[in-house]
Amino acid sequence: MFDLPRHKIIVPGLVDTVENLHVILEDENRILYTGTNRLGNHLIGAIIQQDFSNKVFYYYHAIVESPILYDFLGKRMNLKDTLRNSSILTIVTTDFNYKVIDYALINFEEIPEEYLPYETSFCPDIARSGSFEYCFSLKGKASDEHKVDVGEAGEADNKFQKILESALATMKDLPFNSEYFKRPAMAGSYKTNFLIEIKDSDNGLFPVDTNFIAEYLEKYLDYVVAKLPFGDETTIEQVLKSNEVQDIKLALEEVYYRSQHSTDEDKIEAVLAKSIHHSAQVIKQMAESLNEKRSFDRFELSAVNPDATQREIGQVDITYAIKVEPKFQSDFINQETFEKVVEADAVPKAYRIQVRGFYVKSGIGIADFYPDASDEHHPIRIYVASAVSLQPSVYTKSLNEPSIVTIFGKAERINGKVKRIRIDHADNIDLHLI
Amino acid sequence: MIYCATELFMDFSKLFHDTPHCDCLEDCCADCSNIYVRAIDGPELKMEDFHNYWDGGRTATQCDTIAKFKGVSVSKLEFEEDKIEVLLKYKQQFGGVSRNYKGYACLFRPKTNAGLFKYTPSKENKRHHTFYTSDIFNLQQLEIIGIFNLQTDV
Repeated sequence: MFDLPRHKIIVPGLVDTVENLHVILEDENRILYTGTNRLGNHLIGAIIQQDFSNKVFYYYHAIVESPILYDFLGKRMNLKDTLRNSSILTIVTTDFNYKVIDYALINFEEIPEEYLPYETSFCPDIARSGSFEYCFSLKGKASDEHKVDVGEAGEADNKFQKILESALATMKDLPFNSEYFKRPAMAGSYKTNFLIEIKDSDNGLFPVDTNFIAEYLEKYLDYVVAKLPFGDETTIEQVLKSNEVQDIKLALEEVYYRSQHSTDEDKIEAVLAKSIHHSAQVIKQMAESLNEKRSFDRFELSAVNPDATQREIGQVDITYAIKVEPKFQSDFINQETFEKVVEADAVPKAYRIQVRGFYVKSGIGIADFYPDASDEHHPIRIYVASAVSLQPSVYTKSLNEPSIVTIFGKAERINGKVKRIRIDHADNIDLHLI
Repeated sequence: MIYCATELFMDFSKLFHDTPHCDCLEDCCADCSNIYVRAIDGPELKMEDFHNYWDGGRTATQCDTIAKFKGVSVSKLEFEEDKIEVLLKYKQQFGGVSRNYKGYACLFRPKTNAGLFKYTPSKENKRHHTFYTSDIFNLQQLEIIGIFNLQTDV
């Protein structure tokens, strides 16, 4: 480890205490994590190296402003620039139990290049376990003194409940009810925790697996709050075709599948489009009215984990409205009917795909379809029926490597373009050799 | 003395000396035929790369957690063609966060008496095993297949 500067004084608790710890990357040790310090500031931790001789780890602990944190979490800023743009950058020394035993304030320019992250190091995809509890924080103006105008706070709460309701409106056919509760959150600006309780989910013939609803919900909120405004899509059609929305759609289909509820993919796409549109409109209205608020000028959303720690989802300010507006100009989502399948293979044929998301139990997945030998491809759905386990299979292989594989299935086309492939494996087909 | 496969006898007194109540080696097997992958800090393999965090002072009270801390993480290559998939997974796992922490992957085949392996799959890594080194473990008991820089070689 290089010589650490010793001439600077740090307020105790500023960097040596990590609350709301969320570990993003780990192996035997924590590699990358977020949290807050004792004062409630956002903090990013990143490992520098381990030293077995002294039995210590060295970590960067960077105090960052909200926009920097969310740019990092949204992969818009690499780790190196995140450290460069941090408000306070420190190197902490911990024992192998992560107990801080020393720390030093440092300027980014003082760090030798060989101790900095690679330029290609961005925040990885964050595993979401799903949550039914979300922390909704008002930020700026009077809210930073833990007080807000009663009317403005009530209006914000109502709007956020509408966003949650529109997320779950995609499941109105399923046999459960949902109730929304507010409960006190920890101190720090003005925070409200929203708790969703799924009721009567086991009333039907097949109980609804709430874990999958939670996973869907967190993906949905992650998208509409944090990713939608930054995507390159300029129309709702492009929004629906984006990888993120296809991933949400997959999670939604999985909820229906687990509930033994028949799904019509076109109907699911239509209802998801309407929900995303509605949620975005509600957030947009909230963003547009932020300038008029006396009590706050932005808000933040976090998912609350079962252990009460939080994972930051995103921050919304006035720019949300400007970024989202162009994506919803067309009247696509008002169309009552969607394109229908006009052509399907009578017998299975060989097709080249690269799987991008796959549920091994249901056999439902999303993939890139390669119509010819070129690199040209477009996203499709795959539906795999198999009497034997799909873990491992050619689909998980394609997903994990990742690699293009050849499969045999019946393609369904819309206007001549393959939109989905249905694959039916007989018992005697070896999934590994296809 | 642990007997696992023909002509394999290993001592693990160091493993048991401070936690005699925990049988860390339950369900373990010797394996001198398969290739394993260990993420390491530098381009050359060192004994430190096989030190466990329990000996480094990490503490726990539950036997299953103690067992985890007393071994080191490795991935087993079932087939030669799994190599690329495993190395890519390691590259993704360490994410280029640090140039000095687990930036390399060492492929090795254990020789007789190096230690025992326990299958400990995780959601992220179905090939994950925990490797418990024997009392006489040293680097000569590993046949090094190759060491790869996860940023430049993968």
